[in-house]
Amino acid sequence: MFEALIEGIVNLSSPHSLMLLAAGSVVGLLFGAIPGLGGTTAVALLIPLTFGMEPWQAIILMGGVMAATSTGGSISAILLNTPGIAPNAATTFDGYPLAQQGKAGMAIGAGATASALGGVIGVISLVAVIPIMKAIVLLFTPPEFFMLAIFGLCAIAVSSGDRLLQGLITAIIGLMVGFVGYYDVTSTVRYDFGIPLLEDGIKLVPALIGLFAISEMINLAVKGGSISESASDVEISRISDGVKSVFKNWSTMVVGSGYGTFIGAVPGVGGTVAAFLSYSTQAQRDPTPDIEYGKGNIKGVIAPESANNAKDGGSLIPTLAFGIPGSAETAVFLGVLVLHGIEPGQKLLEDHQDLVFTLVVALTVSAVFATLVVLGLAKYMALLTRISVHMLIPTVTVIALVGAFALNTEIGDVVIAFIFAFIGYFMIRFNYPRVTFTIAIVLGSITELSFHQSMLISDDDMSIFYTRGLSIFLLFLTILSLAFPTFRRKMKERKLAKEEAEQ
Amino acid sequence: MRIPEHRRPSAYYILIILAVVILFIVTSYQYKITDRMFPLMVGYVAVPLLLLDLLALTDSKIGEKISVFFSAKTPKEVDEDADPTKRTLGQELLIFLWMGALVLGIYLIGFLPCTPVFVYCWMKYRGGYSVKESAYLAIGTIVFVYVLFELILQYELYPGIFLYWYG
Repeated sequence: MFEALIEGIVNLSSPHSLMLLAAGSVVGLLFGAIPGLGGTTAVALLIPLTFGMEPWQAIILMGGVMAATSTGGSISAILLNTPGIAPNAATTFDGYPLAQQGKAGMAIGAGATASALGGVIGVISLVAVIPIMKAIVLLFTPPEFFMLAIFGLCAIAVSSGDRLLQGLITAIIGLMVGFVGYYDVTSTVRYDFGIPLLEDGIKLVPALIGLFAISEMINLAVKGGSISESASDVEISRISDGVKSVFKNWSTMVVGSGYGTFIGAVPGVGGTVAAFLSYSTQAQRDPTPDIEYGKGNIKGVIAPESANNAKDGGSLIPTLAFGIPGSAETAVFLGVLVLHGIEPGQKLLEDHQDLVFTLVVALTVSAVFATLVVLGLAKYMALLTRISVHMLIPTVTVIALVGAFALNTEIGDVVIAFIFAFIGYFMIRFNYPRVTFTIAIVLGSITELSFHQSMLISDDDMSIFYTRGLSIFLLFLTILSLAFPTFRRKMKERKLAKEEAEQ
Repeated sequence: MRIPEHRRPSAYYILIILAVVILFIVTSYQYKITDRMFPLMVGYVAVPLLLLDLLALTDSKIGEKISVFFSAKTPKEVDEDADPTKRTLGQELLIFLWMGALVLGIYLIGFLPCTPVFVYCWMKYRGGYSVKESAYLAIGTIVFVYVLFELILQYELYPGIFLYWYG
């Protein structure tokens, strides 16, 4: 493991690698700061640039993007009350009031430092888990893989806010998309409807480019206006006070990072839930604060920011160990790995530990680098959020389509990207989660393969899924995740009844 | 039991998905049992879920119960939380036409001529920018695409079907 870590550091130490990392971090910061774009769009758009790269170079570039996105998102959350990406939403509660009180610099300093430290803690947790990851993966045979995929899909569906039904439907449609094309278990081409383009299946990269990058542009075009109307002429000073406040409130940062790592490791739950939970826990831990939460308490910035960056390390645990993405961003990142011939799971952990550690080092360095950039250039980054959508839409759309084409230099891929752009737009329009859809597409083939292998092992006896220890545990987790919305509703009803009784 | 006017677009969307799922199920039966077993299971789970989703849109007691069971919100609360952006069909069709024209343009004349034309037209006619500003961004975008993809990454960008026919 130590050798792999050294190799990871060596991979990152060349000037070319550092340039890639810096470029990835800057793109991540910019896409994170501009509301409506986000890290998934950035990773999807950059995929074509990695085609000619070595796998470790592609990993460095993507690691840079992933680690920097939520740091960038905190700028618009604090200055404009508009989170750059969803996980920064909890930062607005105290970040924006601080900005209104003339303490924007302090909030940005605290947010950026908490992000960096949270990111580093998340990555350290990932490193700590790597040695036992191999042993855990070996416990999984096809029935367990099948149940894990089903649990992952249900957890992701449940995590899509208050739309469980839509989440489940989207997961199923995503699985169906994953069935299209050549099925190597039986050497049959299925659901291609005689269209040659579909014979090899829906190509993941053009589909993701359409689903995230172009669909967002269509949505922006329909909505119109500028990305943010708010003025951002805020005085940014006292950044160092913010940096110091994180060290002063180190326990808030550590607890937030713990939430981020732990929740990030649950497929699909992601940074938003981690940030909100971290924020509410902080508010509960501190019942008599000096400054009320929601009115500019600096701990209300530190808690969510440390959580949403720590989740990067956590969400890579299921991605690298089982090929089950922890978030949309890691789903697209998984596409990058597959594109470069890297198969997640036991093989990756045994044969390509150097790549895993290259990613670990890239995430760590990028988290720190992005923070330094934010601390230095916060004022100018805030201006980005005022870019007119009419400048963004044509340029991003064209570059995305060129990227979709560049994968196989096939014009059919442009059509795939175009079709998925519309699917993505309608999912935004009718509030169906694209994250669930994406992860289901990725999981489609793994799920079916594990199902078939399980049927072969058991001689077509379905009881194999609920008679083995680990399978039963995963089945229990699946039921628990599906029951979660009902449990939450009951809690809400009870709380309301209690409040009414008190009145 | 009826679906209120403002929820009808969602209902049409569900019906389209339902049609796709039914097509998927029907198509599955032309494959061998091994090939269709898992996809069919998935397809058959989708149908009741979609019907429940459709029922949840109705202004009936059962609709409310389904909505509350799956989302902890009544249909009314879901409406209140919906994206407030007003989207008209005409507005959406116009954007789809722009995007469709871009893809058709790429198919016919290729990326290099199509990119600056699309960026310029969008900036000028949708964004209301001046000729100069639109031209600057159009030139900037095509230079970026050409330098990055053709020169640095050495991809041969699609030249368009016309060039294939006549070239």
